[in-house]
Amino acid sequence: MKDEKKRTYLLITIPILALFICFNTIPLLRGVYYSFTNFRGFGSYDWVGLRNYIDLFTDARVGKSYWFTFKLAVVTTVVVNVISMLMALALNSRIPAKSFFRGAYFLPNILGSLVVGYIFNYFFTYILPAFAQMVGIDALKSSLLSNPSAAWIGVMIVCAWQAIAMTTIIYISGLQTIPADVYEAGDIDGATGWKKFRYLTFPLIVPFFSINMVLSIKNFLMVFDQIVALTKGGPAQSTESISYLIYNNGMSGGQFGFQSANAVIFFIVIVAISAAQMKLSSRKEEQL
Amino acid sequence: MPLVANPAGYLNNTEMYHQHRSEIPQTWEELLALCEQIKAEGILPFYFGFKDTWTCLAPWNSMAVELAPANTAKLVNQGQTTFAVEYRELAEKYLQLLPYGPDDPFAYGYNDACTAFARGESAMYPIGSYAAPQILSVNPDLVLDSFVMPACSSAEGNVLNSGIDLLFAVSADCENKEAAYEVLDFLLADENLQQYIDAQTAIPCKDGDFTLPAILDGMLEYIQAGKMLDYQDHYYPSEMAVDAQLQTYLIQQDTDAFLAKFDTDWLRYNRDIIRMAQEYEAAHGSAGQ
Repeated sequence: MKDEKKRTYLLITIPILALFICFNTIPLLRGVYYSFTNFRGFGSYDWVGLRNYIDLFTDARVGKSYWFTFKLAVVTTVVVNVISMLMALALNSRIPAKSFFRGAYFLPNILGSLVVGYIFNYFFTYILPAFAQMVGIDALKSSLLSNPSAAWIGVMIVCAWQAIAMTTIIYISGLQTIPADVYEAGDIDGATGWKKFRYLTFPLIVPFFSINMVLSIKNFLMVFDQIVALTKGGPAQSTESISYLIYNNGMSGGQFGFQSANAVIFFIVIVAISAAQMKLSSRKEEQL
Repeated sequence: MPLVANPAGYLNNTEMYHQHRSEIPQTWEELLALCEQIKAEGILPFYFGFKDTWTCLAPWNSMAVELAPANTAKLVNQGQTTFAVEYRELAEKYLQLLPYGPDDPFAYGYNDACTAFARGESAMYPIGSYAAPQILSVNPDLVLDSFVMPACSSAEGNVLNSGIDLLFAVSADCENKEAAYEVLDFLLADENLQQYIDAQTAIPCKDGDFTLPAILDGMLEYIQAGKMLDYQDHYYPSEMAVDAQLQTYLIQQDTDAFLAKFDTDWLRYNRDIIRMAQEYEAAHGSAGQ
């Protein structure tokens, strides 16, 4: 009986494991292999040892893309989580047409990010400057996306607009796990407003907060679609995210080997950040 | 097997243009004077779509054939010159075109620029003839001309920038070579090639009795005389992203920094090629000397 159960589990696991190894692990290892070559994506190539890795640390373009990506990820994570938390609190309170609003605010999540990006692209290029012209805001009269020091804000807005939906849903499900008697007890002790949030609500949804932080940071560090649709890395290479640079230069730029090295480093960075976040936030979780 | 080439200078909105001037500028000074005149009449001389970085290369290439040696890349690889020397005039002249374009050229992409030009928002658009089909798809009634970009002070220096746009290759280990050749024969048949030329405003890479599209009339004498030089960007390694560097330059307008970066990046991204070329020349002697 026990053996049969084991066999069933194995039969379920092995094909999935095989698929995972075939389409994830093997390509990953091949990527590591290519990172030690000067492979252009086609033709013959030579073994170059650690040259790609040494170049990575002296390449201004790569450095700039790391700075842009981290700036974008940190700022967007903060913006998304603050707004999502407020939205979740509002959508979890007793308001009319609650289900409708929850549905409506979830809508951005089911739209394709390229489609959203192209619509925002048009918005930033034509509609926003025309509007600014009308009401007389000088700073916004030219396209947000054509200014090297402001284009990242445009990317941030689009990323946040779309990511808030999912993050809010996770916070709402978190809020629903808090039993009513906690608030009743808090009422007796006189906890209202900010104090109620700070000492009752927030500690009880810390697990949801941590998962949102990990997901947000990881998603925004890998930002790609929005860049393709909005800026293609410009203007003046100011919005080249790491994923975009890896894809663009690796696939069409003849730098397959070099960008494989970039991808290996980026993979290590993401794993390290996620692991550190998980470790840090698991210490703060409260159990009822 | 090369099939067609495309020429790049600038496109003209014929009707708008002839309302203001009938002479086609033959020198850089005449071009700037014309732009000044058009601008004074409240019309935008040029449209640019610099948000798509590759379009930054179009005016660059069409002026480079006149202002820098055709073998600049090779000379730099041999250590005989630098881009800072060969490209300085080109870079400085490029900046002088900017005031004659839209206020914020980096906000608009290639599609935006084609559409705006097709709707008569500017008199000229510095881009290759390959843009004509897209422009005409927006406004089929538009009459277009195309001319060589004059970047020198004398008309004798004018050269048409043209290079192979479309070519086919059959790989050595192809198993069905006969079938592949049959496709190539079909594509190369006069009537099929003519059809392609008409649809794409291209120049055939085959001798024969072809009728060039009327849009290319302004470039005809250069094409017939063979006064044409290849795109310099065909030698730029794509990972160096010269298109994005040009966009950066046009935004920051720092000629020294741009040229210095061009030289350092060039040596870095071409080191394998430079090494191979040096080894080859050491073994076989240089073909160019």
